[in-house]
Amino acid sequence: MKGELLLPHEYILEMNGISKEYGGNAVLRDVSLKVRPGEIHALLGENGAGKSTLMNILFGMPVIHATGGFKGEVLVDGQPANIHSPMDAMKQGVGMVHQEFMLIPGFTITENIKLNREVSKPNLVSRILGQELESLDHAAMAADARAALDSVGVSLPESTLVKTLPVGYMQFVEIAREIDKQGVKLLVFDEPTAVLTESEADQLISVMKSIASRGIAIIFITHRLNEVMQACDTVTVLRDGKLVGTKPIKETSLVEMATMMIGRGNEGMNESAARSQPLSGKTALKVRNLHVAMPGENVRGIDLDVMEGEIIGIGGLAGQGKVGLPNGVMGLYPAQGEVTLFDEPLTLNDSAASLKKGMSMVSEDRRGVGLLLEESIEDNITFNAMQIKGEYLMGPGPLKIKSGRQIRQHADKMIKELDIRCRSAAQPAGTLSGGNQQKVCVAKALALNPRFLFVSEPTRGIDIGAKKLVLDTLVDLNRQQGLTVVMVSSELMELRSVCDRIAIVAEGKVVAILPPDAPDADFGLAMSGIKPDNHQAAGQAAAEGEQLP
Amino acid sequence: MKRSKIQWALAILMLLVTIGLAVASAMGFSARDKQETSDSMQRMRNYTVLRTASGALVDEAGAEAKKVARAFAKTNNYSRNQTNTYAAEQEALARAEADERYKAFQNLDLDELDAAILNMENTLGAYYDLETQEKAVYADAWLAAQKAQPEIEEGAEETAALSAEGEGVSEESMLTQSVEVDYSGFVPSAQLAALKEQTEPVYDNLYLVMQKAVPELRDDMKEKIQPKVMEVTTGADRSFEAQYDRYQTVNALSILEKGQQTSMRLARSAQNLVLLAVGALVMALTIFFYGPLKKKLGLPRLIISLFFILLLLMCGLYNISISGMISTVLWRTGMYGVLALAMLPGIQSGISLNMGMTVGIISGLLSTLLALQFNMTGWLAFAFSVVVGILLALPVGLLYGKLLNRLKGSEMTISTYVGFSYVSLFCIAWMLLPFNNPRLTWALGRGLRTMHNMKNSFGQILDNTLSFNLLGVHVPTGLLLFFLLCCLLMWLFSRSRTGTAMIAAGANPRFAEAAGINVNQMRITGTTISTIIAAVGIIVYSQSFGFMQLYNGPKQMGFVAASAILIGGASTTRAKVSHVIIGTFLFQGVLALGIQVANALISEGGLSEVMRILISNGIILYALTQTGGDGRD
Repeated sequence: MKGELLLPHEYILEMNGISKEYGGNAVLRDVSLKVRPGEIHALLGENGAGKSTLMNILFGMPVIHATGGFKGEVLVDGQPANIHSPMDAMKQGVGMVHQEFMLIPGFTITENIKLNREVSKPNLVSRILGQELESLDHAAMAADARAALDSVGVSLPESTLVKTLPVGYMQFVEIAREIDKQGVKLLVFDEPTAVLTESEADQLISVMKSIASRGIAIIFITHRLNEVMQACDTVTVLRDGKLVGTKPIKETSLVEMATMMIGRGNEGMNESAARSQPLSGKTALKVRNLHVAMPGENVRGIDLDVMEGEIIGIGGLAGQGKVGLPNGVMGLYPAQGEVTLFDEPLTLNDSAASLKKGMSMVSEDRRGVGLLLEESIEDNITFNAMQIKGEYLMGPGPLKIKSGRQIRQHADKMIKELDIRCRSAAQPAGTLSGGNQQKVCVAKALALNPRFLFVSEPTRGIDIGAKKLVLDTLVDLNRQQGLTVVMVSSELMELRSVCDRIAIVAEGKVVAILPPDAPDADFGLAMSGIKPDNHQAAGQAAAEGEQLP
Repeated sequence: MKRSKIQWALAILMLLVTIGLAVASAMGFSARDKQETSDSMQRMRNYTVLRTASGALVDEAGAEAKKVARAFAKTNNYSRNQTNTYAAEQEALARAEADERYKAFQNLDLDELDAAILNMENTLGAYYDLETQEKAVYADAWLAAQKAQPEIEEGAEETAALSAEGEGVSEESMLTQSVEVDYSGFVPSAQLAALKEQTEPVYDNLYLVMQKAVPELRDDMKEKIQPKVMEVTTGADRSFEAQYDRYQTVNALSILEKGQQTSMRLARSAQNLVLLAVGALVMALTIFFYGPLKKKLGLPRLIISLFFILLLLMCGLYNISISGMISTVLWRTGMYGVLALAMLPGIQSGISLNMGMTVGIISGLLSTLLALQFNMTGWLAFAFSVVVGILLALPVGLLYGKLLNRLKGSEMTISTYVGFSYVSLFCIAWMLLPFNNPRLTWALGRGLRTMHNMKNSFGQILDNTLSFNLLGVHVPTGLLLFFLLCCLLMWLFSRSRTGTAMIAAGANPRFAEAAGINVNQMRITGTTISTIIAAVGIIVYSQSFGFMQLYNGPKQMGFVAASAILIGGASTTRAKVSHVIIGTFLFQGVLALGIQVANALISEGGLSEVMRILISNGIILYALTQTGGDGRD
């Protein structure tokens, strides 16, 4: 590269042996990252692999130091860099292009680019009262902004108000601002293409390349493997807080990168009890062209068929829309499309109708949607059954009130069956641990005696012991009562250990439906939106007789 | 439950203080029964009687000196200022001289005086006892007559109306004022008159004895000082404290020996020491059980409860009748309870504090006006008002609920605004509505009067139902039962399917939506029920208060109700029936007691009014800072 000879060090950034714990939980273990000047370095990993923590360390975010700092060393230009705040990072020439735009809509492009770094000239007042009151040198600022905009290939006038810009352009303004900073050596792009259209993404990549050609190194965080192949020089893959490897792009392939990302092979797969009876082969839920407007988890046209009596997993990266599917079908977010349940059409956008049809859901947002935290366990468990089916009530005609005795009986039964650890059924749900709260949510869903159960992120934020219990409960329900379960989870391991089939959702669509023992590469590719070369996957699925037409 | 060392130390300290105070008060009480004490009391009484007599002489000497001085000044052509100064000087000089002269009573035959005073006391005591009895009978009859003759005080009512017009606060002062019985028509019975006759020769006898001690007492002064002497020898209140205080006004204690003084003081404070001991015991218990109490009650309620107990003890210290105060608190609890209950469904359904409950209140006022317009009386009027009030509140509540759904997220602001502007709107309406019963409208011009006496419709109809007196506490059974009935209905509703759905919708809208509940519908339900209860609440309030207030009367009601439920431990998102009951009792209790105690502390008329406003608004302010509820996580 061009700048390489001019600089004394091979690496502009070296992060060596970085380890970080959050309250005893190791999130990074001995991770190293080395970035050369002028290269575009991809940082890959599933959600929770440790990418954000690594970048937080690089930028000296307060959250790192508030939780006891980190182990390891950070070198910038070969010199130990003491970065204790984002300000320090800026001084060292490290910049960040944020995923959410940090721009002021009512300001012009110039003002946004030069905010807090304004060019000023002295005037009469400032000569007396000090530098603070100098006038702005609009011409100089505009010239700087122009230059920065030109370097990212934006031809819009620099005096345009930011709020009038298309979303894609805001990203470029953001980049222009970082470039405009003096002495920028390293820029971090945090999933910049997530909100861009394809042509904008292409433009962004060419901008990145041109920035890199000026000797500025770029760390490119993304889920899209295609873009990595297209733009990057080197790739570093993290998994579960550990470094999987760093490789030049030329020496690797899509499949290899995907394998590195997922990389657990077939360990611990489908250890659940075998099914006593074969599946009936009937379709329980048929989803056609479903769109769900769930902020952050938009679904853009999912087609899916769920067989009666199976456990189907829905996997994929965060923000791709996998959580939107159950929320849309259950009427929690505005949905559009065609859904039939056991051959009966389902009215969308009507939670009561979905529940009455025999569907039930364990929400991913346990504390927000799943529970009334201040109410007792028993009231939580029986709430839906009381509202939907009118159970647990006593008294004449319309003057029914809830029957404390029936509620207590049922709650005690569920507490015993699901092993909910509590003082009594009257304990407020909010005082339970995460795992026990989740069990209460499951009990609540089961109180409706559902034919069809959605379980969304059932193990999020609960400890390992509780995870196993929750998953075992689901498998038992499926095996013994023939309950059809759709399980949405960010943890692929979990899906592969429990599910009969796994649908991978990316960008709001089902990319592929894979058997749990499909190769890691297939999962990795599917997650980044590439339909895996599905000869073998299809073959295996066909062998199990579940492949859809 | 772990307790810190400081907690132990403080609790033990307070316990020791309690024991100390209890021992002291026991000593005081036992001292009262001693012969020495009654001897001392006797001496103080003698001294007081003689001082009263000589006091008249001192006055006379002073007046005489003043007269002489003025005459002297006139002959010497003094200027006006000089005259005044000279006269005042001479008067003070003469008074001091006379005072000195009569301080040491000569030729004092104590036994004779004792006998005379004792005789006087017995006769007069019998007279006072009978008089008190007869006056009580008369007062009852008088009050009954007042009720039967409603419009007798037309003028007084108008003044009350005017004073209550400005802000809702003045109404508080009306609530705390006791009714003054007019004794001008009191005719003593023959027996009482006979007793009075008997006192005359006894007094003559006493006067003779007094003349012996103070020879200057002339016969012509006998009539003049009679009432004074009679009052100090035997007041209407013959308790130990009252006697002591009476004698102490002339500093009678100073004639006793040091040791006797102390024991008299102790005997006097025995009752107060008991109150202080109770206070210290409460403190000790609070410190010792601070953890569990705080957990159970929450800090705000703990503070308010302690404040309530403090005020009760202070009532004791300031000789305010505790049983009377408890009667007032019970009455006010029943009076405001239903209004506070109106806050409950609002909070439960998620619209937070329904400051716009005035929308319902005005429906209740309208229905009551209709009952008055058609000259209904008694239970019929009450039932009519309640039923029509509910019917009127229903559509208004629905519309108001829809409005609140349109403006989610800032309900507190919106409801306060709606409440105020609705009151203002109806200020116009009261002038324009076609009520034409002359009892309702202004005598001149058109429009409805601000205050309406409920005496001849259904005033106190609930209060007087099944009411009884227990240990001096007047229990308005019907009123309390009606309040508790409303609470029971709300409690049953909160356990119904719709009720649980409504509470869930308020506590966590997303949870409710996930259960297929129409959250907006539930908010409308809650708002409507709140509005309806507010309508019933103002009817109960008016009948209990005895007056119905239009115009700006209902403006502050929302704050009073909100404060009550917040002090009861509710938060802006979670409330229970128990919060309403506890809250109304504590809020009204602290308010009523606080005002009485403030009056006792600062007897200056204007200042106590200021204190009253400070207390009532202070409690409201404190309550509104407790929007976080009882702090259970």
